[in-house]
Amino acid sequence: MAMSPRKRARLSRGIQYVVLVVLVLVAIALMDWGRIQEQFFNLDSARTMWPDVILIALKNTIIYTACGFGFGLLLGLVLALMRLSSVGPYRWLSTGFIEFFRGVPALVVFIALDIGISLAFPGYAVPGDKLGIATLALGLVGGAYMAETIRAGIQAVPKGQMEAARSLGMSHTRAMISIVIPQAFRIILPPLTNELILLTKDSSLVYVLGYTSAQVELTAFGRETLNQERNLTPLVAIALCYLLITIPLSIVVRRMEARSGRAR
Amino acid sequence: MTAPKVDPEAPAIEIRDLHKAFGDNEVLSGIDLEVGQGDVVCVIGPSGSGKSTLLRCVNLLEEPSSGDVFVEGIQVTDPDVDVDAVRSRIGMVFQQFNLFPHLSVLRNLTIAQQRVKKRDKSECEGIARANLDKVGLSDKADAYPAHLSGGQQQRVAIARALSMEPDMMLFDEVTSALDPELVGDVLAVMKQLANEGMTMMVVTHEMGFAREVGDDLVFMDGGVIVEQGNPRDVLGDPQHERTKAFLSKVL
Amino acid sequence: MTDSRRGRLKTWTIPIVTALALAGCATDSEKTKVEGGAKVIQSGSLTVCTHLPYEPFQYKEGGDVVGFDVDLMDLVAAELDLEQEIFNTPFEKIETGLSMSQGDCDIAAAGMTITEDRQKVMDFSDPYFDATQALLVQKGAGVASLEDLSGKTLGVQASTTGRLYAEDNAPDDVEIAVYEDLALLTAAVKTGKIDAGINDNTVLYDYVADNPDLEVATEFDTGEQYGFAVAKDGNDELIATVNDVLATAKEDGTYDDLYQQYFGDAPAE
Repeated sequence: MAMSPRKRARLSRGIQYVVLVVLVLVAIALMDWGRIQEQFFNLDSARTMWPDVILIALKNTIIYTACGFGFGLLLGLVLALMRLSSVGPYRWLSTGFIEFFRGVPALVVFIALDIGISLAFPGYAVPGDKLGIATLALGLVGGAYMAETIRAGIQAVPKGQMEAARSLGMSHTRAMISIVIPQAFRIILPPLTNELILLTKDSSLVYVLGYTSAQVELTAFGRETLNQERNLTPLVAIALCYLLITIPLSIVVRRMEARSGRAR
Repeated sequence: MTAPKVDPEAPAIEIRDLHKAFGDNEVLSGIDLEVGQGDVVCVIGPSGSGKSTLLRCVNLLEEPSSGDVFVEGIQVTDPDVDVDAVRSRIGMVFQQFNLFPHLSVLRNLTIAQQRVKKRDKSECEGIARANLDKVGLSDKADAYPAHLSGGQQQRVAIARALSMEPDMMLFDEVTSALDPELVGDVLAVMKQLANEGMTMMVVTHEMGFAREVGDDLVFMDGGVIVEQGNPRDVLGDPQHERTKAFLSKVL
Repeated sequence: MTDSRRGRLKTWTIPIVTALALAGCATDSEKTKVEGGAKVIQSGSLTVCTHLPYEPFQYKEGGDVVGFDVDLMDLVAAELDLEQEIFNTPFEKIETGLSMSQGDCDIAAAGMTITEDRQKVMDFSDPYFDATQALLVQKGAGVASLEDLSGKTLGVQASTTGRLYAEDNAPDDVEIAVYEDLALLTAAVKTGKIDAGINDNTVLYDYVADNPDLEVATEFDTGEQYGFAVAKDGNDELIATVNDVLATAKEDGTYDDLYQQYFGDAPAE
């Protein structure tokens, strides 16, 4: 007896549900819950992290990310404008920079920056101590990624906007600042927020620069406590902290995308 | 950078042997045209004839391949000229309106005044509101472009161009993107401007407007001016075959 | 199209101003002088570079950093009327001397062996600990020497003397796996991902005390000594103070007490 396509689809869905439930049940039955609780949800271990995990580690992660993002945004804007410039060397410099910092692992960039600056310029320190160099490193990497997003946003602004602005007598720079860039940013707000989420996780690389107990960020703090406690609960704890930052941002992104999709 | 010095005796716009090519495609093949002060010159022709390009060469939105353009005696094709200063004295209205969507109507009208002419805030607003009133949209000062109809947006665009107090206005097929019932309001504003003595160069399909208000009608085809003269004459008794062919299709 | 020259000028000022701002911030490692003429990078603190964890020399317990090295450094800090501030950094930056010469810290205390290569890039204190390399294996693995690891995997810690020893002395068909820190290395042996691990004897003994399923198979007679280190030719006064403190501690029994606290037995000789 041949089944109608709709019945077949319903049967397939039903089978998938059953398979899913069976797999979950089997996993639950096979897992050693005692060990899992001891390894992943050990309240004593979690308690040793309080309140430093929030007051110091989470705070530092937020600060490193925010500063890196701020610097990266500015740098990304400059790079994007250079890419769009009519001056050849600006375009080549910008393209080279973007390709390099997007193509090399962020970890390598961090290490090279840290050691490289003190070797190349002895006696010179990037202003701002650890925060300064973390901002520089995160900003260089983040900026390279954001440059492309910003450039696309600027190019997405209809050409007529620039033409109208210039026909009113505005200079190219003035038209960019007042008319094109504000509109570009409205367009790229969702992908930029995604960049912020990615940068939050990249802030974990700051550990290679070295840190004091006051400068520690979430991942390094988690690893230190992991070594101390010899179970994985610290990692679960910092993972939750990261989600505390990234999930609200994701929600914001989705809301923004929905709103711009609805708007004319 | 040469500070542009206006020659009061010179025609508003003077175009001499203008050529413009996009790659291999020559769009303007030698245009000579004069627009006197206070004149209304209408440019008509089939699509691809180069009429929009011609208009855009006047305020240097397109850079001519060769030839000269003079605005009030200033050679705008001179590489040393301050283009921004020249443009602030030429108003342009586009087919696609090009209002700034992130700014209110009032701000659309004042931003260039503030940034380019460096007027203070109250002066800008005064001029802006006066122009909004002129185009019949005083009550829309705080609205945003997205909330306006096409015809309203275009009238705002005209008010925006007027707020810079230009010496002349360029209109690039400004009614072509409008629903027919909205066209009349925009044309009414343009007629009023013409009656007030504004120098206007209008690329259009609206023959009625040309006949009523135009001082000079220019028919372009294939990058050259085929026929030119008094609108009633050109429209009523076209001399060239191509003019006749074009008019028979649109009239 | 003539860009207004004003616009082009504005574009140039941005990179120029930024460059000047960064250049103008060139610091000349302003250090503070303390008692005995030693220099510190941060007034009020003795900033100590280390790499966590390296139990029992430096490790975290109950939220604080403790250990044999830490306690000895506390003695030095007290002598200079300073508070110890711990700076955790990747070990390769310490053992190449970069952390100290870069101004990240005043002195390094990281269970670090004194070697000729390292002496080229940093100044060491008098030796404060005797150690030697040892081999960590799972109990009953039947491994008693490097030769027994033929065809197997041996784990080492990056930038350590243990790694150098392994590379020089292990049979050619032994696969060497490099780990960033001690905890990762010991975990790998414990879970069986690798067959053995090589590191300093005291840290391994400390580990097997808490992990009876593993054992130290053998020791290799490398006769290493640990030293504290400062930037090369950078802080003779600090090194002098450290040596004084060490000598005093050995004389008045403080050293022996600490040793017993962390290693169980009294030190040899």
